[in-house]
Amino acid sequence: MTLETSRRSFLKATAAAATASAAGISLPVGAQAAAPGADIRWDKAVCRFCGTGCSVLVGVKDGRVVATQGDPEAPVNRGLNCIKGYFLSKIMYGQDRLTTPLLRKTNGVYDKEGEFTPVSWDEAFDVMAAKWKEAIAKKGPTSVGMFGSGQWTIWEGYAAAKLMKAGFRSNNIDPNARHCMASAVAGFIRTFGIDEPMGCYDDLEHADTFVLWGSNMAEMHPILWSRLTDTRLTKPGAEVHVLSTFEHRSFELADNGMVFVPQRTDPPLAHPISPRAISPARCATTFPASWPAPRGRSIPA
Amino acid sequence: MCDDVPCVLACPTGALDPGMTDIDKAKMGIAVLVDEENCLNALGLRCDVCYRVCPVIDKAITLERQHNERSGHHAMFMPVVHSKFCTGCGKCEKSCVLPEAAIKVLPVRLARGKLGEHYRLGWEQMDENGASLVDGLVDLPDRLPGPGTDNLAAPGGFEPAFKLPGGGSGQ
Repeated sequence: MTLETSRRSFLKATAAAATASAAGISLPVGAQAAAPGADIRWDKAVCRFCGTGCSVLVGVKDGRVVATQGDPEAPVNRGLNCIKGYFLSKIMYGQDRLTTPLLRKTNGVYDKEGEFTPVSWDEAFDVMAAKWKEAIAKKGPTSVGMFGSGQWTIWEGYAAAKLMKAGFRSNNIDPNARHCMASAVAGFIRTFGIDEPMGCYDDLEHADTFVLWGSNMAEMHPILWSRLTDTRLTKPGAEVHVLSTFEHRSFELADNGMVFVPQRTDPPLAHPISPRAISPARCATTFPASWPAPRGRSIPA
Repeated sequence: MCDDVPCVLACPTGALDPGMTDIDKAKMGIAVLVDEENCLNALGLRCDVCYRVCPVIDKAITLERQHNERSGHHAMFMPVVHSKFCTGCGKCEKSCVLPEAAIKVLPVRLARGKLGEHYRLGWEQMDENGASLVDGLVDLPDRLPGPGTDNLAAPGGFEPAFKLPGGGSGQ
């Protein structure tokens, strides 16, 4: 029996076999390394554990994710992952993942000091509704709040905002994005006309000088840090400047590491830089017509 | 690592040397990265766990940066154990995320080689001495093209000692 196999599918099958055995499921005999991943369906996806967005291939068999691999063809990570990306498929099926609603109970009755007990969705919603109405009745709409999600779809977010503000007449709704991305999004759209940080990862290889202003890339974006480190190691004249309020792992590569006094050091450092960074000679003098009109001050001609 | 060395205190037979009071001086074994084929860092991934859990981080274990030839534009961070500071506590082996740990604590005799007695490491000797081990060494100028390019502090070139008849400088 001749089996066509390529090095790539051999590696896929080996990875699947190893992960499957670790997950406690067995691949059918013949689906070992000899049969190149015939039972596993691979799809391309993105790891969402951090802002880097390493490309991964996800292997599904019998409705379960059995293995992942870094996409070797993606320029971002070339088949690499950090430790969180390595565990993508295992985290999904971790033992302590929630599968049912849990309610604090003592002796079968809701008790704020009780132990978490699995309950049905019906019971969960009943208790939530009762407590919600009780709070509003006693202390009004400001006594309730909704912690939303930056991972909602647009429609979910819209519905939630309508429910809280028009329905319950409460302003207390914010997503996890309020901790960081809400202000960033507003800033990006005002300044550049588009959401999400701009820039091209290829600049990590093209640029000579890098400034990390508040960013701890070494610990927060490990694969991007690998790229920046490689540039610093292999490119003569490359410089890394790290600015933060405390000394962290990114300082290890820094040619110039500066520890800030919070809210004191940023303005005197930023003000002299800004006019030079946006001087007309260095920027397009016309705002692209396709971008939404900027509010506030117009860019000087 | 433990400051109070509770195992020594608990040992009823004295099998654990009661003189061991400073755990940093212990040599229970030496950690060795035995599997550089499966170690995630050696593959180019960013695990770093053994490095991060080491109680003597950055002394007993460091991450050495290398260019990743396969990917072309990433760095690799190789865990390297430095036996002078490693006590063999085993936290690295315990924390390795692989089903079979790629870093293991081995008995000192297995973990270590030995440098021949007849050879010394020049850069370490010079560090310890603070200066060159031999006094009065002279650094002669290198013959480089053009004036002002010799390796002495003073400018000036290396002029040929003899001028051949006819004006040529000769070799």
